[in-house]
Parts: sequence; C-alpha cells; structure tokens
Amino acid sequence: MGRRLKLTFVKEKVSAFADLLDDDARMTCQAVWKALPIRTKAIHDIWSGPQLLMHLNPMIKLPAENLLTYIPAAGDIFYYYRPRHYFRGAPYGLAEATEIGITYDRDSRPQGPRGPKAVNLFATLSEGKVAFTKVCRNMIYEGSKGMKIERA
Amino acid sequence: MKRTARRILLDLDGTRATATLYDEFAPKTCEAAWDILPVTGRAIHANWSGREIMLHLEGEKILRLPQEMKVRSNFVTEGDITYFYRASQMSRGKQLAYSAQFQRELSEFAIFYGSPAGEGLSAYDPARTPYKEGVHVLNKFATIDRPIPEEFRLKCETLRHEGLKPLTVSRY
Repeated sequence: MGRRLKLTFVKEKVSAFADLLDDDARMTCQAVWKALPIRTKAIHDIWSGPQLLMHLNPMIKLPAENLLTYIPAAGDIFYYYRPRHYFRGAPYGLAEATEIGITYDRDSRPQGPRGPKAVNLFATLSEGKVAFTKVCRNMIYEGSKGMKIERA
Repeated sequence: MKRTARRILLDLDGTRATATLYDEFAPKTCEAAWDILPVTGRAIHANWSGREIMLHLEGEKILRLPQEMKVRSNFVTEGDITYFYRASQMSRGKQLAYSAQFQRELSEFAIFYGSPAGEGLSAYDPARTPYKEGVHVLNKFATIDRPIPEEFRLKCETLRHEGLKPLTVSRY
C-alpha cells in the first residue's frame, strides 16, 4: 500500500483516508506530505459546486503537475496555487492563495471567480467516504468546519 | 432604465439593505414578488454562483412565473436580485449535494451581494438557458440600492462560516 492521508473533521470526529497519487503527482504529494500535519479550516466552495477548500501556508508554492480542469471524480483531492492578480479584475482574486480542495460529489468543476482553474490532482479518498461526504454536504447549512490532515 | 419608487427591504439576521424594483423591466415578476411580501426564511449561500445568497420560497409563497426577459451574457451583476425557478425534473438524479430542499421544485430569490461567477456569464450557459416555459426561469427584478452596505455584504459572507441565517424580504 502506498502513502495515505487521514483527513478528520475535528469537532465531528469523522475521518476519511486518501491514497496519494505518488506516481502521477510526485512533487505535489511530497510537498503536502512534508507539510503534515495540517490543522486548518475547511470552507465550502462558492464557485465549484460540491467541493471544499482549505487555505494553506502560501509559502507552499508548487508548479503545475497532473493537472485537472474539468469533471473531477467524487473524492478527488487537489492542490491549487494562485499568485497575486491571477484573476483579471476580480476583487477576490487579488491575493495570493494556496489551497487544498476536496470534491465530494458529482457535478463539481474547479472554478474561481473568473471561470475554470487548473489544479494539481494528488490524492483521492479511498476509505470512509460516506460519513465524510455527509459532513461535507452539511457545511452548506452549517458553515465552515475544523479539519486536520495527517499522515496515516 | 427608469425605475419606479417601489422598494424592498432585506433584513439578514438584523443587518439591512434596501433594493429598488425593476418595475418597468420585469413588471410581472415585480408584481408577483411584491404580492407575497413579506417573506421570511433561512438564507443559504450559493455554491456555484459566487457571491450570492438565496431565499427559497415555500408553501403558499412559491411563485411559478413565466420567463420575462432574454437572458444573455453578463445578465447578472453585483447587487442584482433575481427570481429563479426550476422544475423538479431539471435535476438529474437525487442531487445529493444539495439535500432534500434541492430535490424538488425550486422557487427562490437570489441576492448577488458581490460578483457572480464568471462575471454573470454562468447565467448565459446554454445548458441552463430557459428553453421551455415553466421549466427553468430566471428573471432579474430588483437591484440593491448603492452603495451596497458593507455590513450587509459581510453578513452575507458569514453564511459561509456560520451556516444559514434568517432573512426577511419585505416592502419598504
């Protein structure tokens, strides 16, 4: 078995496991692995449909790798880096940002305020998806939630 | 566009903004919306459309209105308030991501407190363009009076962190 992540909604005590895609996204996997454990806040995306995002330390700047732009599968986990002024004229796109995103259902599309964005696909949920997805879905109604990502 | 004096009040968890109806542009929608006011519910943040909160109309407040205008690129901009209707058959499968309230007929007011997705381009998505009367309807019927109160914007934003908030739309 390859390297795995454990993702936990802290307050809800709900965890899922994800397989790192080391063969396809070696650099991204290594950078994320090195940064673990991460305690952050997960927030529901407002541009991309059934997707969460978590802001990371912006010092983790990675180039494009194993890019995903359309039709992610439920359970896909990706890294995204946006330099300053990446989105033309968007008041929300001026700041530099580094994120991890999780797609939890069909019909998502990685997207920002000015349209689709390319993201580094580096992991996919493999265990505990049902309960984890339920918490993700509830965030639409309940708001953001504390998240811990660690080595499994 | 000439505006009449009819205005509405948006009260989101105690934070207020006023809006002016587009009576000349969308007379049927304005009249229908005016008639059901006040409407109270729990506002939910959009997950596709960017800086938008929605108020689902329920029970006797549900509106089933015809398409009243042509939807085009940049149709929706910051501050706009739209009426949106989607018949239940528009949703493929169970639409689990949106829980029970999205699995049935959807009639709502959508309030764009900031930039809509793709600068409003998503409203022009051919796949979502109203193609059959009464199945999928999008009418812009009001706009928030300028300047949009910063406190109101921030309150809308808090839905992302704190979840649903009470919203009342009333005559002003």
